[in-house]
Amino acid sequence: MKISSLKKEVHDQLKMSALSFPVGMQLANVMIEDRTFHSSEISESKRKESSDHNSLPYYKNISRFINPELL
Amino acid sequence: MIVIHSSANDPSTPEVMDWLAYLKNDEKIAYFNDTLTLDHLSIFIGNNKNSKSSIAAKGQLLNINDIKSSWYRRGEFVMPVKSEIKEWAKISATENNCVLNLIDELVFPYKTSINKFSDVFISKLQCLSLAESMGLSIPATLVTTQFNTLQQFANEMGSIILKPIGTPFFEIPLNERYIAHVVNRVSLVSHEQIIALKTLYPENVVQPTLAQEYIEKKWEIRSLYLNNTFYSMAIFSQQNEKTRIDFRNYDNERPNRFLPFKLPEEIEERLRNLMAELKINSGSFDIIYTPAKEYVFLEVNPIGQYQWLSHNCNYFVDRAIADTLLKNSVNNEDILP
Repeated sequence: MKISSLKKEVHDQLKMSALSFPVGMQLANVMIEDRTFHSSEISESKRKESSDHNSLPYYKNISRFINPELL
Repeated sequence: MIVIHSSANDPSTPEVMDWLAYLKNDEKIAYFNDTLTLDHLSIFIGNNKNSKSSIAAKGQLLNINDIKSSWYRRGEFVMPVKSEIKEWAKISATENNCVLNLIDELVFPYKTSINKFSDVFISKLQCLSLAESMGLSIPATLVTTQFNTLQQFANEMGSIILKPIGTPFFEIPLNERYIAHVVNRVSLVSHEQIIALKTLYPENVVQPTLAQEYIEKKWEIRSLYLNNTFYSMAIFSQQNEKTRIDFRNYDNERPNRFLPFKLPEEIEERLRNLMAELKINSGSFDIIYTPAKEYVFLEVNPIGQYQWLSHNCNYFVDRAIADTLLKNSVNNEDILP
């Protein structure tokens, strides 16, 4: 199923349920995630995000900071 | 002891911990990650000198009396609701929340902690109202459940901004394979666009909708407030159509220019007063600087990302957080202004 069709389906749902949302939801951004990760806007955006200078990878081993008395 | 409650995915926390290790590597730190279910707790209130209040999670015991300084970054403590009777489960959850609110106050006390869990829930609308009472300029704002009122507001303003009142994110599962991520973004809409939506609301009733006048920007300002100090950054977002309305619509191909900035003293004083009134000791402000040289307050985010501000302006905010935690830990000084 094409991503664009799914997006249209979501926007149609938002219109049909307009009374359940604030007015601004009619202009919402919709991104579709494929849970199998074969094709996914979310996966793509996360890949971009990992190279974005605003987002740093979490790589530090923090176990040394745990208070040993609490272990 | 310093307590830090954060998230495994938060990039800021390891940086702060590195600074803590560098500045005082024998400091005891209790670190909690994400959502933690409390195994048990005992909280003594009153003059029980020989009694130690404590909470336990994942086999670790935390003596609350030993906490000198703390930082709430992400995550939460939860208590299980063990009841098969639906009605009692609701009551149990309510009682649990009362206890968790107390634990939040004890583990992250206002005077010696950087933020607390309940800061996450401050109301955008309350902030706007208080900001105005503190002498800060704010955009003309409407919250309404009447479409005609919204239409009239848009007519008066020409163009308006529609914003979410609370969280902008939610998900709609479409089927077993696909899920939709929906973001109720900040949108600039014209009076004509509002009229075009009228057919969706035949009874004139809408869910509470937040609208604001559109404010022309010369540039935008993001300012982090921590330990009585403002770390401000100017964001030149107006020459890029993608970032013009909301700089958070990042353009990774042509990123906005960021520069260190100094807010006027009178604006800083009013923001400081606002934070004191909200009982929040750290947060990031979004402010517009207009072509008419006016500073317009938009919102404050108590717990947001600051690394991009810190890196772009060489502010070393991670070190400032570590310094604040150590200062509070050594002598329990107030971190209030």
